[in-house]
Amino acid sequence: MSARRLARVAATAHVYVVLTVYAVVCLFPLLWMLFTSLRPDVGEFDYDMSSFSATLDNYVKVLTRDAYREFLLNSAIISAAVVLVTMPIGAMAGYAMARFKFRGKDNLFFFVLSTRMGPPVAIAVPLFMLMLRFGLIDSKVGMILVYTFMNLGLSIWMCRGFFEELSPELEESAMLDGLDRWGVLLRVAVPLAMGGLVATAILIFLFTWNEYFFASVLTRADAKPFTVHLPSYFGNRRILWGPLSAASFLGAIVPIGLAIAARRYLVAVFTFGTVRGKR
Amino acid sequence: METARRVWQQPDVDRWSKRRRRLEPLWFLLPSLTVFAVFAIWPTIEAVVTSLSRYNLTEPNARRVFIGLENYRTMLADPTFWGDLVRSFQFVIASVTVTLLLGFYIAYLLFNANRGRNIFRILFLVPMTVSPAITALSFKFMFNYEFGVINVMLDGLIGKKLNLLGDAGLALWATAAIDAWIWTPLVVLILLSGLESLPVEPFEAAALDGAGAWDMLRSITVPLLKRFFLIAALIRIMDAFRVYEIIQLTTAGGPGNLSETLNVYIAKRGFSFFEMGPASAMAMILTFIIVAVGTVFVRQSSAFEEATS
Repeated sequence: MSARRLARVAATAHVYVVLTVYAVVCLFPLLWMLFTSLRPDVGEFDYDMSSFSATLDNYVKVLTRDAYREFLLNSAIISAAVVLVTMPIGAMAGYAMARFKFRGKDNLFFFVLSTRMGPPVAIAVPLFMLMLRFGLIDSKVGMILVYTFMNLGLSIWMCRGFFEELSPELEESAMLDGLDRWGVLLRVAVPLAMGGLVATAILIFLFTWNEYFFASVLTRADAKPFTVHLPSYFGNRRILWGPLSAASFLGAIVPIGLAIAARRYLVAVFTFGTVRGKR
Repeated sequence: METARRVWQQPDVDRWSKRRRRLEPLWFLLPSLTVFAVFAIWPTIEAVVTSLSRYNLTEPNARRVFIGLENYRTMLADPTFWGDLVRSFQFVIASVTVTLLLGFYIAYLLFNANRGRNIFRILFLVPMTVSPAITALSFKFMFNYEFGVINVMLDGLIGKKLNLLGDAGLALWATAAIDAWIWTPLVVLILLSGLESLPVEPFEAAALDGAGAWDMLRSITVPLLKRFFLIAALIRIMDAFRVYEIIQLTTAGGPGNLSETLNVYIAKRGFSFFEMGPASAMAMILTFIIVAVGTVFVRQSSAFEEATS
């Protein structure tokens, strides 16, 4: 083998060895969680594999003997509702930003972006007092409202980008055919931008599903999502590692599946459209 | 394009009075503006007022009493505030540096992997997709001093266990490492997008001049990716200042408060001690820091939009 060929093989090996190692690092916590969740829960955690036999006991335990199912359901209801509220009003505002000229548009634009920049803890105090006053502590409606606000800026920003990419000619001819702007938005712009809009909706569901901080401050039991319940498996004296792993795995697979479905737009969403992934 | 736009701006003057047309965007924006008014503008005003008040929810019949800059003065004299502010910066610098360097290394390798790039790209999504609450708890489990799998591996590799989350000198860096683990893939994807968008001509020219891979990387690739590095860095800096779960659910700021950042301290003063005044004052300071960083980001992204449109 010539020296040049050897160098090329070494370079290729370098690429794939490092990428594989890094992929293992990325997946390891999830795999370890899955592995732990399938072990029989026999008290202290150990590495004695002689007794290992895969069992779904931990899943049965968290889903039937614990109220974890309700917390997962709370997460699902709140996340779905947030998408259903955020996307239509975000699409409307995004369309206005993409297609209308009006005074103060640029300022509004930066204001929308700034709503996502501030630390959540800064508005947590006034939001807590607001919810307290209106009796919305520990209510799903309250959580839906808070998360709608948290994701609205992202929704507007992404929708605007998708609508701006469309050529205005189609919308113009639709208007000449007698549609008003609402009709154009609903019948022309939204169907044409559907791919990006669905991906944005999926990722807003994901962000809401994963949220912990606001939920830990604003919910107690009735509206409690699964993220807030998880730490209760991790006691100071005793770690319920079996149920913890099973519950964590159930909470993790949903967003992983969603992110893979929306992967083409993931980078754009995380970077507010400043970086476009390969479509 | 220009004529198309002009036609667009003047639809059916017969049916739409000028006034109605001017108000039209408002109807599209109204629902969003309402949400922002209730959940952004009003709470921001409230937060500013609260930061200037004495307001302790644990007192019976708590009322807000205006006390001027007293809360700010108290916080600026609080050694915990300064300690946590320093730790916030340490956390941000450590996490962002690691994510950028490792992220670029992986992105560069991924760019050179012609086969399997898409599969790796999907696998790398996992850390940033799972809830930080889940990630925090699973790392707390894996970092456990007695039986955590990471410590069992460390024991095998270096013959010694590390109390990663309990040791005074390690806890903050261990939490920063978890943060870096979560967000390195985002940097990989951002920089990979950048690499995929680069023109080939400079590389061809350099290859004709006999430049090696390392020279090209240093004097062509990295300079051309400057914008992508900047975006990645700014997003990461803003996010790292806001980290909560990764610290709260692993060390809860301990031991003592040696892994406590400003963000975690604010939540503690506000929602464990219910001292809304000092918490709001610190939140204002943290917001100011993040907005200062964010403003650079907005400038950068709008400069980019102008350059490409």
